[in-house]
Amino acid sequence: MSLAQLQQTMIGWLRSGDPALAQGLGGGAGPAVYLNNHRAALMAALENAYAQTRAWLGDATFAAAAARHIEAHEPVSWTLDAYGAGFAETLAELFADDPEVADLARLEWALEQAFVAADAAPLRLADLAAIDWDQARLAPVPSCRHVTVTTNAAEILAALIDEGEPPTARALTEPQAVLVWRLGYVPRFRPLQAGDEFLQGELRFAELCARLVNQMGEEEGIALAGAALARWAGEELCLLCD
Amino acid sequence: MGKPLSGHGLGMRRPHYADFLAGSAPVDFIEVISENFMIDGGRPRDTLRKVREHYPVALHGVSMSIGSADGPDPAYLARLRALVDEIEPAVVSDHLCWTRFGGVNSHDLLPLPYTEEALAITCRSVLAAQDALGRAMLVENPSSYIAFTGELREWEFLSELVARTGCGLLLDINNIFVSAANHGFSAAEYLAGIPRDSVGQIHLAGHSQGRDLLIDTHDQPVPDGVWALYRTAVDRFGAVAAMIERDDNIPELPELLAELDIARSIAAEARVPA
Repeated sequence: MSLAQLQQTMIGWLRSGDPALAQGLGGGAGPAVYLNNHRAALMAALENAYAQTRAWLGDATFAAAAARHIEAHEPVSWTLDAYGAGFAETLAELFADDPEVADLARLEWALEQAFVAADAAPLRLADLAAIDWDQARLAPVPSCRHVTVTTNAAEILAALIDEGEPPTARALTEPQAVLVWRLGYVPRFRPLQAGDEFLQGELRFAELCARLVNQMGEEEGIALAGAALARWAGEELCLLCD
Repeated sequence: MGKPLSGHGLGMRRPHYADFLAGSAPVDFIEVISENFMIDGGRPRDTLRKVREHYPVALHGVSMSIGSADGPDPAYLARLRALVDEIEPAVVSDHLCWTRFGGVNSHDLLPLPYTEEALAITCRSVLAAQDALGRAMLVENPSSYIAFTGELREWEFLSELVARTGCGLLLDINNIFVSAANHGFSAAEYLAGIPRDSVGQIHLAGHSQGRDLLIDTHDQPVPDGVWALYRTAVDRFGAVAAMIERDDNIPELPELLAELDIARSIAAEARVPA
């Protein structure tokens, strides 16, 4: 057997647990050790990435859902930290009648991504006075993400993180966007506020003002742009482009 | 191959971060799992930068997969190179194993058959890795639970790998102990077969007794049998840099430091100078 054939057999064994493949690896007790290690590593990766979703579902229900995901999804990245991608979609299928479960997972995954996102020098309140706002271009910090939910999952997640009593799950009257980012080294999230919807790519502040003035009139538009800018600077949500 | 690390160190684990960040842990170096820091940014990377100010760092990987039949992953090597350039570690190491084939990652250190074909493939990957990293690396012997048929013994395979690539070895004494028990070879013969000047670092760890096999759990104190084998190793290789590698069931730092003191006392009696 060539090395490639052996490795194909071993991967097949790890993914399927087919006893015939274990025999191809020489049989005995050894193949089961590797099968157990493989599955335990993937289970641990999901448990680590989705601690609050696990708390919401309970250990046994979470483990059953994670096992279904592991069965259906091969790990394709060199890092275990990537294995949690797509788990929310598995949960959406498994808990179609409880959409807050997938929403919780989407938020947790965004928080995981924010935790290790690239560092950046954010715009801070103290910087604002020295900037030429006619020319200034802003962009969200690399950790910034917009997650759309259809339930009160953000409230549930906040309560779970604070180890408080989470509210009963409920559907929202319309989908809600939640902003996820990292303040310093700590991931944060909150519902989108007026003006935040523009913070999804590079934009000139003067253009933001013009668009808001066009929508809302001069006084209200300028006020909203200023409020959004102050909020972004206070929360380290944006950076000044070169 | 030189000996870039010296003295006695510990694997940096989360419960002890504060001690390492303060520089108060009395160790000569620390080792971290490379992949945990091959990220874009955030607190983990900042922690490593700060700890680096106090201690020499060894980067120890688990996903390079030098034994994959489909060759090294350039994206992985580029990520590791970026970390190496920033941290400037004393040592970069990974395992004699494979973790990936056909685009699927096992996230476990899978055993190789010790054949000429596997040796040629592994040598090509180590050379590619060393080229990508701009430095020689250390390769660690794994513990294993399957022994495939091959033309070479594990120590012969490692010796050839050293000779053909210029890499060094990270000898895990516990892994030798575990594999010797599982596959019925002589651990002393293993050590005697490793080139004297190839060993750049030593791991010490514990294991657990499974139903049929010894399991390399790294969640127990270093047992007497591993200490005895370490004594044999330092008599052959000298007091090369050694560390306790505890991956699970992490005890308080003083417990690990006490184990490190045992390692120091054994190394001090080495018949061969470092």
